[in-house]
Amino acid sequence: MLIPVIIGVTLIIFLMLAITPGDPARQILGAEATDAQVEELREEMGLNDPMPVRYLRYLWDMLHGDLGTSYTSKQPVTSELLDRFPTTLLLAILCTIVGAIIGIIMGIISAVKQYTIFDNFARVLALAGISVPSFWLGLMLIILFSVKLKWLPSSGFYGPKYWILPAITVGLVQAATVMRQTRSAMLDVVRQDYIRTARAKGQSEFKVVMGHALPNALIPIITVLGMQFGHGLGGAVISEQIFSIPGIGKLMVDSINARDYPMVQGGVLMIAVSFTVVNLLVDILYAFIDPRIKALYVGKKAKKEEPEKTEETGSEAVSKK
Amino acid sequence: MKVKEQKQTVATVAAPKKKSQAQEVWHRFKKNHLALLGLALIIIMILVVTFADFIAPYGFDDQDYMSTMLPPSLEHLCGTDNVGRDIFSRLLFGGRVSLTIGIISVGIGLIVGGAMGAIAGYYGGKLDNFLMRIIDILMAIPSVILAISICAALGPGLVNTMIAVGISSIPNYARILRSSILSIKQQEYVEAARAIGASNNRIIGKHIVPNSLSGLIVQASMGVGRAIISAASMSFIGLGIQPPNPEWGAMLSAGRTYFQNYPHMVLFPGIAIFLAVLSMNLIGDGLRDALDPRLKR
Amino acid sequence: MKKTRLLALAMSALMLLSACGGGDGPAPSDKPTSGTETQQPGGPAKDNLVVAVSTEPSSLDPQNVNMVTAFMINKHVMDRLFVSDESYNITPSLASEYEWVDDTTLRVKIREGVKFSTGEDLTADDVVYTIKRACTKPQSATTFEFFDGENTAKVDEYTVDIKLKQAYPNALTVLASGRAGIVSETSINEMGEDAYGRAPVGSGKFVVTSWASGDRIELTRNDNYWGDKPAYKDLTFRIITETASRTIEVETGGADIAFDINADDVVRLEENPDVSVVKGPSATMNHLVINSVNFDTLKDPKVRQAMHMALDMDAIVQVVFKGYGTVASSLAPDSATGFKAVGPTKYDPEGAKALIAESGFDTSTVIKLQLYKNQQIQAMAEMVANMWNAIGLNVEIEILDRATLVTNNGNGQTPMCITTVTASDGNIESVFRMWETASYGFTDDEELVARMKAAKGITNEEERMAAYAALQEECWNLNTVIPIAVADNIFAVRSNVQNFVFHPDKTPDLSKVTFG
Repeated sequence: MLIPVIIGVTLIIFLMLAITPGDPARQILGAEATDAQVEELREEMGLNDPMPVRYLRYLWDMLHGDLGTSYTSKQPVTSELLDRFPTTLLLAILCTIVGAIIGIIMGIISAVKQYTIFDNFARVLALAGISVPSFWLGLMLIILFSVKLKWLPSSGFYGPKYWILPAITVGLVQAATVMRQTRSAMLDVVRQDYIRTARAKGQSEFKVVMGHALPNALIPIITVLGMQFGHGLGGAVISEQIFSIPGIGKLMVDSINARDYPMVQGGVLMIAVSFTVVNLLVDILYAFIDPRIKALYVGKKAKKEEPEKTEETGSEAVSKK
Repeated sequence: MKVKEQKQTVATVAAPKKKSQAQEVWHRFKKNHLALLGLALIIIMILVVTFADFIAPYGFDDQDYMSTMLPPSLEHLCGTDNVGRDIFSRLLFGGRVSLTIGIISVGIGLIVGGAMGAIAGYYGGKLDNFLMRIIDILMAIPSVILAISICAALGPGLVNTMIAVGISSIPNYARILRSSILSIKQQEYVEAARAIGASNNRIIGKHIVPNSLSGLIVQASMGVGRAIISAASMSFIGLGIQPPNPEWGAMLSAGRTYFQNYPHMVLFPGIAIFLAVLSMNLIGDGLRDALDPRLKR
Repeated sequence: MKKTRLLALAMSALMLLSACGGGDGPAPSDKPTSGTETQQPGGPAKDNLVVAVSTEPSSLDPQNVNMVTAFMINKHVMDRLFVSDESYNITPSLASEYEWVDDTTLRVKIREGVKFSTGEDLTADDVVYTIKRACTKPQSATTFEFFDGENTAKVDEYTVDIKLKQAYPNALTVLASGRAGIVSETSINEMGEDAYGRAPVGSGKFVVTSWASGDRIELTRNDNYWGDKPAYKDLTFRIITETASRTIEVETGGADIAFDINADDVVRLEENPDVSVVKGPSATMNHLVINSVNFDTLKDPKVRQAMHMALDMDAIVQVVFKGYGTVASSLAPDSATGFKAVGPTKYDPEGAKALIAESGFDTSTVIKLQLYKNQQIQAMAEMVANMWNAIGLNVEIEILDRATLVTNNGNGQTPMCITTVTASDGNIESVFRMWETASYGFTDDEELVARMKAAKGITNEEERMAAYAALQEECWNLNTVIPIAVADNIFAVRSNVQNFVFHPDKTPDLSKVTFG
């Protein structure tokens, strides 16, 4: 699974860069450099070799753990990426947490109190959330919290105070999706017989929701969260730009603009791998969360009701494989 | 235009079954006030944008150096920008570009992605495996980065932006269509059709496509919103439409240097994007409920 | 009730996470002063200067880089034989004495006892190595075109004979420029060039301690420095590409000095008691360059003159630079040595129309105006295109990314673009270097280019200035380069920062800064 994806991703990016106009050697030396100087640098960078040769050489080096050297900074691509990865990882975690907390809580309340004012309000809010361009939201939050109120810094990523605005900017948009998914999953579950049974047994509403309904609704929720986290590892391209966060997304945009081929290839490769790994982890997570599977281990309180409803949520944006 | 297209597709869904189904869907849709609001909003937007030449008080490139960065007033409803152009007029003309990008790039994604998904889902086997690996690969590259690199490769411009945004949305549609086809394929009536010797083409055309369309329609209407945002993001980092032609994302991007002193320069383009995307999402939500009564809640 | 409890739980979880997440980022101790932690009066003296810059250098190796920010930072890390101050006065620095043995030999005595930050002595060998290197590295060779690296040799341990290929009166300016930082031969050999560019070893006032890519470059005071030491210990450069964010950082105290401030923010900043604005004319010319050689449509001098006449430069300065700039009156910025005012050309759209009509130019021809994404250049381009369309031309703007534009420029494929040229260190040569580059297609008059080359070698100061004056006049009238304006360099500075001196090249000397 991972290997064909890696080969495919590198090939696509390689082909794309090959047809991209703009000569990396010229970009480094400037327009006033002589053709001879440019040619010499191209030779040195190995850009004059035929495409297949370059691609195979890239694959070969990659197999040996060498992703090449950045054209711009002349640093090994691997170390540049590893420098940036913690920032992106932290941002992705924070955004996912913000998204999960707000989204799940609102989704549950909305489902439980279906058709109430809260529900309607929350649904509109969530729709607004998925409709707002996150970069615009970011600018507005900067105006409010950095410029007007002077509570939070607007750029950098040096500590908790710096994390809040970017995490909220991206997190709120994620929360909207999570809320919608949670609500629909919860509604599916709440209609099941075993919930009615639990209610009939006189259990408190809180216990019914948190103890019976939520665990059965978790799979689609986890799917969305996993997707978002996986995408988050690719960097929040524009939010990183706005908040001056030295993450992978900003690095990728800068590298594409600078025709830093090795960096673009290495970066996309790393993003693709982490995305695939996250997907795998989410699949593993299902095993721990799915009550049907869990029931096998827990044993006696095995529930026979099949919550086959999870399939139905495929019509939502996140159909699982 | 978008609306007409939707109605048509709704009609095709209904065609093989009862004639009243389109009306039924519309009836259900009508009851959803928010969705109606979205529909009204987008119709107004499309009309306003189509007739921008008559409505806009100024041209999109009428520069007035004596009145730059003016705050909103009666003369300039949304103020003026850094070279003294009327932002309201630019929003109207820019809407043409943004909405066109939204619709066409969804079209690209829908056709290519839909075809891939349909083929993979219906024929299955090795072909399915192959196509889905391609989708996996496309999915593993974040869509913004994919779109940016396509745009860098093709060069800037309206058409290239639409292609870039369209390609980056392919996986989404492919996967949706494939999964819905997989589930429909197992339905009894399809088995029945096959049992009585219906051809593949007939099965696909008469049964599978109409029945899997509902999910796709919902996705597409929301996809227009997503595509508008993607295109705006690309403009925001300097790819996309060329000046002086206005586009909402580009206008937002131009304003971001000045947003501290002149917030109106980012406020109004942002609101325009938001409203367009919101109305498409409202319609999408409404359509989902209307097309699939089982999901009605 | 339930809701509030859940929310409270959520909040505390978030807090907990953010509290323990610190390990991932840089330690909190080295984070810059942030908005809410204001300096207490009477507290310990501020010991770090945080500077927000707009671009990240690709390298700090002075001979292997082509960016002003890199030279600016490098000047704090490396010594040069000579230094040039804010008014371009050149004084010996690492050189203790110097004499011209003849027109092509400069004998320099190097200050003794100077050590690199590694502790190694800086000797004649390092100077010779640096000159040789500067003559061969593609990104510095053009600047050092008249230096004879091969014959430059040491006389004794602290004396060097720097040889020139021909008489070159600007030699000291080049030796004082950013590309002339004296590098350590031993360190380059030990570390390798690539690593050296990342953590350059010099003998300057500061030492590079860390470089977090995309974020910040940290320098700390070199306590073994031979001259006056800076009053503060740490110098941090934060890379903030968003213009608005740099302003906000200074306003909120996240940075002490910010480069490249937007002209629109000046008034607001000046009203702010915590911030002061330091500004002045820059050495950078914004101009429109036309490839008249490769593109037939742009060959007619009348059409180009009409294009020039159709531009309302005053309006451009007012709108794009908010008046913080001057309309160009020559090819060179006013600060360049040898500058002579020949313009500006009178704004005359009617005259331009008449001229176009007279030339018989087919006005339906699409004229492409290219540029790279930059707020000010884009605004200029939109105004230029608008003004040209107003006289009936058919102009299309094309925003390319920088790499594509540079490649096109290098291959002679750019019909017309708006770009900048900087006469750094007051050196007017760089203005004409573009003319020598055939791919720009400014002229195919070989005699003219030969005169530009010859001008550099005229030893008599007066004659040289006269030659440059004539060149400025002649080139201005060709209209293949249409100079637009010289914008002001605008810096925002916290009011407790003192002794920050404006520099037209965007390479201010930050080592003299003190805090009040």
